[in-house]
This record gives sequence, structure tokens and C-alpha cells, in this order.
Amino acid sequence: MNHFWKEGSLARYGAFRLATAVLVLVGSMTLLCCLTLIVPGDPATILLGPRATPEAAALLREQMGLNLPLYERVALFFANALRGDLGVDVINGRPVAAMVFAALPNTILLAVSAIGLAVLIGIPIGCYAAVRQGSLLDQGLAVVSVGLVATPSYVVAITLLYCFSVRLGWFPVLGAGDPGNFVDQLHHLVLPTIALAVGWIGYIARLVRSSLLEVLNEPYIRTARAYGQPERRIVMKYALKLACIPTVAILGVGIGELMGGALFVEIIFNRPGLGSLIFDAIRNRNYPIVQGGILVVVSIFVLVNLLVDFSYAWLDPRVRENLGRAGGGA
Amino acid sequence: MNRETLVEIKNLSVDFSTAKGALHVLRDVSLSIPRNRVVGLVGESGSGKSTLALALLGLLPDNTGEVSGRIELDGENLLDVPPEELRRLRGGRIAMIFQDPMTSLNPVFSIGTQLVDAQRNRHPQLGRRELLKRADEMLKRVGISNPEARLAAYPHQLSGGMRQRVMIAMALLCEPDILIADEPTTALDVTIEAQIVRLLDDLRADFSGSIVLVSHSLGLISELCDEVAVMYAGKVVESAPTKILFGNPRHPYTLALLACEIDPEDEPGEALVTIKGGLPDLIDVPKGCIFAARCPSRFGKCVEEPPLCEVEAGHKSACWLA
Repeated sequence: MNHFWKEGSLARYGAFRLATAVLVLVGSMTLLCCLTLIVPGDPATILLGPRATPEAAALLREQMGLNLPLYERVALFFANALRGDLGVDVINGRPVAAMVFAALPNTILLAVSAIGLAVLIGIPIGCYAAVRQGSLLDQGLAVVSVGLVATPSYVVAITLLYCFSVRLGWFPVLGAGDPGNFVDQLHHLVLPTIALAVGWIGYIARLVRSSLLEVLNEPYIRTARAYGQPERRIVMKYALKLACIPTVAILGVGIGELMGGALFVEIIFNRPGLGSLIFDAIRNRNYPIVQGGILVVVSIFVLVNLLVDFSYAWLDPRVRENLGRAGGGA
Repeated sequence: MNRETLVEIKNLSVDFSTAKGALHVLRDVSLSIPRNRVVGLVGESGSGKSTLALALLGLLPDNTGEVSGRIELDGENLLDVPPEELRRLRGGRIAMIFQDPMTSLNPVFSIGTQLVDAQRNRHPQLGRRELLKRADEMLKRVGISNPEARLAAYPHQLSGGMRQRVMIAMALLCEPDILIADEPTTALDVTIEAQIVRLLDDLRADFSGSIVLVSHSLGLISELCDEVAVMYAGKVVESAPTKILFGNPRHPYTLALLACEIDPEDEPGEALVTIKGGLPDLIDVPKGCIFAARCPSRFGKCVEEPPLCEVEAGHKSACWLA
């Protein structure tokens, strides 16, 4: 074995994590196929309407593969998915993969800008609140953040939409903007981003504040002080790196919630995206789109968690070794 | 050798604010630390010796209440020095070795980075490469083999004894005038403790500053220190050159401490000697001699507080009997 695979190496850790990621994907898709059995409403009758002939319904069921046993459906789905084929839209016959990947950039843009905004504002506020403990900002943050965290993104979305689009007319009401016009797209992105990010700003700020306060009380910070290191270096270098670890962990878990929040925000702002795509598909029992869409969402979730675990290991050398030794886990 | 004073602590009192009221952690402490000597601070837990060490460093905890008196470093009162200037003194003229090497180093930065940053106050003009080179040499001096690899390592990859050597290297890299070592061996295994004591003893020879060694172990103090101050309940009760103190202790508390040391010639099964009673209440401090309640030789006069008086040249004791 060369050094690349030695115990404690990131590569070895990565291989184990990739294997678990594949397991998660297979598991979640199997569950999804089960759901199509449990959820009331036969897709064929919903699609064809109540007056469809039994023959037509049976034909459609066969086309959708609903008459196959569960394991065959899952196997078939993955066999096709590996070739990049996620099936076709039952209603208009368009390939699902194309529809999902057309919607994906909008959702990713929304999620990334929301997380970016939350991190960019949340971390400095948290740092400031920790360093100036008991200041007006610190006390204000305590009150406001609890309120913000508890407010669902769709409530924020509706409020923002009413105030800034309907009343003040500063921002466009609906859509994602002209595809060729970047400025127009940004303009359309502002309110949905804020709606999605607001709760996270408060959450991240609180998290950074509390973990920073905890870290600042550690003996090794006292060591840094005992050697006269400037307070800025102590907070921004020595303490923040450790204080970021819980924040990063929360972000990873939070991606799922963020995707859920994005769905509401997309519906309210009538933005094209994965959220609205899946939402419409569920209403129509358009299972290929639901499956394809969820597969992509779960993949993103798994991928982000993978990234988070890696950055965790990158931030903390102790984790790096333990995870490598334990052969994955986590 | 004539005794030249480097640090003069005059009537230092420190209170900690607590929910129950002001805790008088240090009361009217006066102590002089001579240049190029090793001074031991000895006393049981809660005697205020660690607080005294932190006060020297200007790093008293957040809940510190009233502080009065003077800590003079070359005549300048450290209690009046503005925070920013005091910060430059730390890691410059004053450095500290902490008790627990397991938690005193930052777990997510390499030893090299931490040793480099610790020197920045002392050598602001040097770059990272030069500072690393100095760190490399110093690690060799404190007995760490393969220093290059250790500089790249993280604290958790080093043993406790090794980490304490790193802490000692960190302190020495600052070439301080005064080095404070707060129970530097307490958290270590006995065998490692012996190694660290030997290292400190070796380094003492070519270290040009003063050392304040805080410890509850009289053995360690007698081995390493030129002078000793015995602390009890926030006061210095006796101070003297080491030989005099151990040969002719004049305070009943010092006598009691010496009696508590485990004598290897004692028969097994013989009861360990302890000092009866506990530390007095430091919020509502009793009047008179602070040790009276536990003192076997107290008498009528002990209701008055005895001053710390010179009983012979260089030997002070705060006892009416001394």
C-alpha cells in the first residue's frame, strides 16, 4: 500500500465515506419507491381522469413500470439512472433528466446565495456579540435571533413579497428573471435569498457566539494571552477555527432543511426550480419526475454532507486521524 | 552574589467577586523577586499562589474585583501599565509555563505555528522562517528529538511530557526576564515529572532571568529554588532562602507542611500526617492570625494579626512566636 492509503489519510477516509453515500442513495430511492405504493391515488387514474378505460389505465401502469415488483423497479431505476436516464415525464413525454437539470441551477443558486449570505453576515455578528458580550448588539441578537429562527421561511417570504414587491415595488414579484439577463436574475434573487437566509443568519450568529465564548475560556486561549498575542489574532485565528467546527456541522445537516425551505420560497415567488418541479409532480402523481428530482436532491444532500465531513477533518487534525483510523463511521 | 531586586510586590490585595460577596484571594502580599534567582511559591490549594502568578502576568480572571497595592517590575508599577503595553510585556519580558500541558496548547494548530506566534512579541522583526528556525533549535535544547517533525505535528500527537517540554521551549524562546512556572509537573506521571524537573534544573544554569516556581510540593521547591515564600489563605506567612527555610522554619504552618511530606522511612500503615481543619473563609475573613484556628501553638496574642517581620537576615515570618 502506498502512503496515499495509509491509516488516517484523507483518501482512505474518503473511500469509506463514498461507500456510505452510495448506500444512502440506494436506501432513499428504495424508500421512495415504497412510498408510491403507500400514497393514496393510483397515478394512472389520476393522470387519465376518472373516466379512463381499465385497458388504458393498465397500459399506462405498465409503461410507468408500476406493475413490476418493488426490487425490480428499484434496480431498473438505478440501471437507467447510471446511464443518465431518469425516465420520461408521464404527461408530456419529455425526459426527466433534462427537466431536473434545467431546474437545478435555479435552486442551487438560491440555496448557495442564501447560505452564503447567512455565513457572511452570521459569523461576523456572532464574533462581535461574543467579543462584546452584553453589548446592545449582543442583547438584541439574543432576542431577534430566537424570533427569526422560529419563523418559517415561507412566512418571511410572504412578508417580504408584500412589503418590498407589492407595496414598495422595489423588487419584482414573480419568476427568476430573464434567462439571458444577469442583472435581472440577480434582482429576482434578492428577496428569495433573504427569505431563505434570515433564519440562518440568526442561527449561525448564535451558534458562532456560543461556541466562540466556550473556546475563549479554554486554557490554550489563556496560553495565547499569556504570550501577549493581540486579541484580534486570538479571536480570529486561534479561537474562530475551533468555533467554526460546530457551525460547519450544523450547516451540513441544515442543507436538507434549506432545500425544504427553498421549495416553499420557490412556490411563493413562483421561481422555476427543483422545489416547484417536485411539488407540481407530486400533485399530479408524476412519479418519474418525483423520483428523478428526489434522487438529485438526495445526491446533493449526501454530497454536501461529504464536503462538510471533509472540512471538519480539514479544520481539526484530531478528527482527521480518528476518522481515518475508524475507517469512516460518522 | 549580591541580591538585586527585579520584581517588588508591595501590599498586593486581590478580590474576586462572587455571588456571596468579595472573596479576598490575596491580602496584603509583599514579596521581592531577585534578579537571576529561582523563587518558589508554596502552599496548599486555595492559598492564592496561582492568583499571584496570574497577577504578575496581568492576566487575572474576569471576575476579579478590587485590586490594590503595587507590582513593580524594575520600578514600574504593572498595575498602572495600560493594557496594550502590558500585552507587549507578556511574551516579551514575562513568560509563563502552565500546569496542564494537555490543554495548554491549541489542538488545531501545529506546534510550529504556536511556537512562532508566541515569539512575535519578543522578535517582531523576524519572519516566520527565522522564528521556526529558533523554535527548532529550542526544541533540541529542551530534549526533543527530531524537532523538525515535531514542529509540523499537532499537540495530540505528542505525549504529556513532550508537550510540557514544548511549553518550556515556548517560554524560553521569549527570553523573558521573569519566567513563571505554575505547577509545571503536577499534571505529569511521576517518571515524566522527574525528567521535567531535571530539565528545569539543567536549563536554570544558562537561563539569564528570574524564575517563579509555583508548587505545592516542598520536594520540588527544595530541589530547584534559591528562595521560598510560603503562602497560606492569601497571605505570605514565611519567606526565606531555601536552606534557611528548610533548616530553621519559624512559622507553625511551614512546620506543619514539612511534617506532611511523606517520609519514606515511615513504617507502612503509619497514619499520614495532615493539618487538621480547613482553610478559613476568605469572604468573611476571621480576625487575628489567619492560621490560628489550625495552629497547635496558638496563645492569647493570636487574636491580633502578626505582621510579616524579619526574624533573621533575609528570613521573614508572620508569627508572634517567631
